Amino acid sequence: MFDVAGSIEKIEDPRLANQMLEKVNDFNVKIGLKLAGYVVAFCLLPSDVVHSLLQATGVVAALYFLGKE
Amino acid sequence: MWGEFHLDSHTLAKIGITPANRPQSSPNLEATSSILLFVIKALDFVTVPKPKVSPEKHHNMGLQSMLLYLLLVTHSASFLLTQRVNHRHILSTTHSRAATCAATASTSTSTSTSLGMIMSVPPPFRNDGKFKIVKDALDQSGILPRDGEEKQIFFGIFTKKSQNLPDKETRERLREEAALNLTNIDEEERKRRKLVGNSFLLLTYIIALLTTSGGSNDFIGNFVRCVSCSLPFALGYSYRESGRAGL
Repeated sequence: MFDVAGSIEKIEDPRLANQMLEKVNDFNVKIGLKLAGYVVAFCLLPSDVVHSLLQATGVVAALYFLGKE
Repeated sequence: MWGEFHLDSHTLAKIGITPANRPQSSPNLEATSSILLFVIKALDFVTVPKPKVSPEKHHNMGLQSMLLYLLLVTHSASFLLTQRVNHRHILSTTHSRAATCAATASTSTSTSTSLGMIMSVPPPFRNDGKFKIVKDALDQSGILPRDGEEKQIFFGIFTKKSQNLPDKETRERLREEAALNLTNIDEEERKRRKLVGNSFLLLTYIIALLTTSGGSNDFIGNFVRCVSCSLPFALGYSYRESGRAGL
C-alpha cells in the first residue's frame, strides 16, 4: 500500500510492490533486532552507570539544542 | 540494464524448440528476421525508455512487443533465438504492458505462455512474507479503506478521511518519487511519526532518570527500570525510525 499522494492506494506494479514489501520486512527485522539489543544492554548495565550516562546524555542534548537555537 | 539476453537450449526446449524441430535458416528467413530486428532496434533508438518507475509512460512498448511477438511466433524465431537480443526490450516490457499486449494478440495459448516465460513477467503480488500477520490484522480491523473510500494514514495506526487531495499531476509525481525512493508514506506523515517518536524517547529518558536516581542495583529495581522503559523506548524508536525511513 502507498500513502504518498493524499490517500491510501494499492501499488499497481507488482515488481514495485514486491520491492517495497521486501524493504519494509527488512526494516522491521532490523528495527526489532536493534531494539532488542538496546533494551538488553540497558537492562544489563548497573543502575548507577545508567544514571550517570543519562545525566551526561542530558547535558549533551541540552547543549546541542541550545547551540542550534 | 544494458546486458544481453541469451536463450539456452533448456529454455528453448521449454518453449518447444528442440534441435530436431528447429527450422533451418534460409536466406529469405534471415532477411525477414533481420528486417524485423532492425525495426525493433530502430523503435528502441527513437523511444529509448529512461529508467523510470512508472511503466505506464512507455506508450511505444506495445508496438515493440507486437514485433517481438511476431518474431517469436513465426519461423524466424529460430533465427532470432540464435542471435543476441538486447535485454532492454525484455526488461522494459515486463511491467505488464507487453504481456498484456502479447496475450491479447495471441491466437495460441501455448505461444503466449511461452512468450510470458521469455519476458519474465513478474508474478502477481502476494503479501505472504514474514509479517503477513500484520496485514491480516489490518484487513480485519477495518482501518484500511474499502472500495471507493479515500483515507489517509494518521500517526501510523489511525486513518482519517482524505482532505484537500492534490491534483492528478502532483499525485502522479508524488507516486513516482516515492517509487524511486521506495517509501510508502508522505512527508506530513513522516513528520508526525518523528514527532511521536521523539516524544516517546523523551518520556523514556525521564522515566529512566527517575528509576535510576536511587542508584540501587537490586533485582526488583532493575526489573522495574527495564519494564517501565522498554515499552516507551520501543514505541519511540520505532516511530522515529519509521519517520526517517518513510516506511
